[in-house]
Amino acid sequence: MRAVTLSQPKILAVLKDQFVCGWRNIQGKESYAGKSHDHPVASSALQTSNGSGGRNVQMLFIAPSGAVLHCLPGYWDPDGMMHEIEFIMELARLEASDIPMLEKRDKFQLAHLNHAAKHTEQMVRDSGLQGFDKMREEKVEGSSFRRKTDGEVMRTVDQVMHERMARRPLVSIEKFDVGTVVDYGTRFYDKGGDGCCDLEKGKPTAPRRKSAPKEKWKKPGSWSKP
Amino acid sequence: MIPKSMMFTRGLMVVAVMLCSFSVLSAGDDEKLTPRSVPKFGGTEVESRVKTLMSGVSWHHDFDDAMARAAEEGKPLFWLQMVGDLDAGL
Repeated sequence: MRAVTLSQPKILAVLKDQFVCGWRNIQGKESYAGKSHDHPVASSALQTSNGSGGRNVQMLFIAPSGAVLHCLPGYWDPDGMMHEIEFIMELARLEASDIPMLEKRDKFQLAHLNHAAKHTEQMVRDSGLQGFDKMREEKVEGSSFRRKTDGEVMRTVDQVMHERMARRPLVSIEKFDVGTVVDYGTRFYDKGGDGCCDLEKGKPTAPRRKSAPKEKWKKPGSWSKP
Repeated sequence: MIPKSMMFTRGLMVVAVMLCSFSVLSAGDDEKLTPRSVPKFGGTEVESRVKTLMSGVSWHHDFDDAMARAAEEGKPLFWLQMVGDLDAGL
């Protein structure tokens, strides 16, 4: 996220000019924080789908009054994030306007739903759940990712996140339930490990070995008569 | 009565149609969900980009301080929460 998207010149410029920025490490501090393998700063950065690792990364956009405008969960590619930032700037103007609060909230809800409806096919395609996240959602009967028509887990993060935000119109950061907003997929997320998780416990089922086994490895099929 | 040579030709045509159908279905299933517009970055590139990110923006670490600055400047706050450190390992 930081290497692929946040450091992109166009994203960096808009963050610098249009926002006050801050960050914090939520590991071990928030109950909704996910788990992942360790990645040193100089490890390679891989692409993934929008919304992947929603429990590991949350990008909150908060108006100066303290009202939450948006919460982008997990990874977002530069084009997707820029598209959302432009929308957030519209929401910020709405929040700062002089119209009554009830009307602002109505407009906020509609804005989120309309924005989701206008997402391009490409953005929707780029926001699909990854295999292990989809498996977890298939176990949840009332999952937001189920299609209303046939109940299949086919809906995408870009749609669900706007619906969840529409249900929280200009809620103050003190009352904003981040844990519920990012409640989807597995607790353990690692880009390199699609399907590596124990879905019930949220722990990796194939941890890395500390050392190689002492016995000499034998090639399969090299059995010989004793 | 259909000649044997014609039956063989028809058989070949049926097999060809089946193979074409299979290849079309396979092409659809291979469609990737991941974004295509950005490349994969190696470790050195990531380190350099993280340095750019840290120096390119003035980052707050205290939420209350950041909110106070946002109110003062009349700008929205971009507050990033993550498992790990933005300027170190994740």
